[in-house]
Amino acid sequence: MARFRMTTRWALTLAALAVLLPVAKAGEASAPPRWLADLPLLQVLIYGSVAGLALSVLILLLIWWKEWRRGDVW
Amino acid sequence: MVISPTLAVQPFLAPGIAWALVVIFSVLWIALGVSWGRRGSGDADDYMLAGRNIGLALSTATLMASWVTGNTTLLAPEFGYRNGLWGMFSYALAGLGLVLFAPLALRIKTLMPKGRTSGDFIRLRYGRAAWWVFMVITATYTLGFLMTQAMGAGILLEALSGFDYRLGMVVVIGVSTIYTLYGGMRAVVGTDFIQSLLIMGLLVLVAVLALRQFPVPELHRALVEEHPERLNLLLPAGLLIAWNSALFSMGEVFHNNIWWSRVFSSRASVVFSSFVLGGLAWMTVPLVTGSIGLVALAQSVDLPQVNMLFPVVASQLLGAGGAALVFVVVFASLTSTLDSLLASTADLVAEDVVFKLLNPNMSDAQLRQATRLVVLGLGLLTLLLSWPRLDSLASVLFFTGALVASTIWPVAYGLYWPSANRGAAIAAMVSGSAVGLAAYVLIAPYCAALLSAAVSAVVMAVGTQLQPERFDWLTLKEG
Repeated sequence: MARFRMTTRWALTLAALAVLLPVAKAGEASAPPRWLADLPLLQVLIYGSVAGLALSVLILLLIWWKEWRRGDVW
Repeated sequence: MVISPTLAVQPFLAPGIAWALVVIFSVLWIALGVSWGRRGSGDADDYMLAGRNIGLALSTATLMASWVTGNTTLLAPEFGYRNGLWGMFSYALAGLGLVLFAPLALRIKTLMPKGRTSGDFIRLRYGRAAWWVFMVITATYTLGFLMTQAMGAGILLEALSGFDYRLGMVVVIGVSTIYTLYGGMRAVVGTDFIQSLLIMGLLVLVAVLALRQFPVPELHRALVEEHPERLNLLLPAGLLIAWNSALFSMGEVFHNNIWWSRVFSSRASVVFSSFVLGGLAWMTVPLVTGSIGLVALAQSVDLPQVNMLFPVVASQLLGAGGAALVFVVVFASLTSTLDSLLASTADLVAEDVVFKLLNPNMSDAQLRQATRLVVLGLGLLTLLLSWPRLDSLASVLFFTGALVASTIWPVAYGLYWPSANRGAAIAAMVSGSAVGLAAYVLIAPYCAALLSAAVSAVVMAVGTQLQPERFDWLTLKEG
């Protein structure tokens, strides 16, 4: 019974290797994935971050002004 | 416009202009800091935590200003230059640390209405042994952080104005120490508000002027032709760096007293909103400064030292005016971070070591005096440690990531789960730090925080499951 279990385990291991090795070799040979950011995406990123920073300044000043009028700054 | 490849050896700001800017802003910060420091009740709580009642504007601004460090203006362009878009994203993800800390901040404010430091929490929650481990981690990180700011100061002033590296360092540390010493947390928070507006406003101005001279389509075309890998959004190493950066920032924010002191200083009603707003606004800064790194890359600029990139490129694009703007931005970034570090670390040392450990019978006036002496001592220590110059700020920064990431789970567990085990917290911090440091040396610096946080999480969860405790939350009210 024990011998049967060992044989089955070996058979399963060999079967798994037979399937996985070609897949691993194929993956090794293929080029690394590549997706270059296009111009509109780069524009959104750069202009968007500059606009976000400008908006942050305005929001901060607005909050401060409202708190200052209420005497809630400190 | 093409940037000259033979740059950075010549200073871009005449010494007279540089000195004028240094004097103007130094006098301004010291005068405002001392003036704001005279407000309030004058007790230790007022000096250490600005009266515990600051509003949303000041709270958000002080988070922004403290998190916009010399590294954000000097290192984020370096990330963009070396790693392209993923470098910029990874730096921007550091803002997640502030956003994710928002619910914890609210919880801290509720559980510890009289708390003063992060050390108070660790000591009350996990005991003295865990506190020692925590203090070693936070001391190492804080000294590393202080050193990067001090070295950044020296490098900036040298790059822009030709000042000696050590002279620039002494000026920036000296100014921050003086107004923090006299004004305490009120001086820090008040100057942070103006500094954050200056930093953000001038960065917008520099970016707009730079993009008018070197438009994005031109930048994109140059990158596609010469450095397409910098535009690759499917960069496996980029993903690794990005998540390492996010976890590193979580470790920094979750454990360090800079952020805990802001929680205790702020009004309860604004704590959550200020961390969310501050984090989101901050994320735009490394993207903007990182874009400058892409510009330098697209122009094949030969840089003698890559962490001089931002001042050098801005000076080349915008002339002396650009150099002056960048000088003010980075001077404000450095002083705003250094003052926060000095004030919050002095709070931690005075409260946790001098008061709670060495002299529990200390009076309120003595505690205030002790805090002031620690501010002064820290300023001098920073100067001493930063005297020898290191070539890359990144090497200092990543080293501490391995340590701080190990504190994320002990802090988070300790705030929400009464069953969190104190032995597990110690084991999580020690094992996480050890594995993180090993990864830093044996694999790559940018793996350190990832592995440290992962190991710490497993140890904390398993240890707590095996031996759950029953913690009484009321214990934290004593803090």
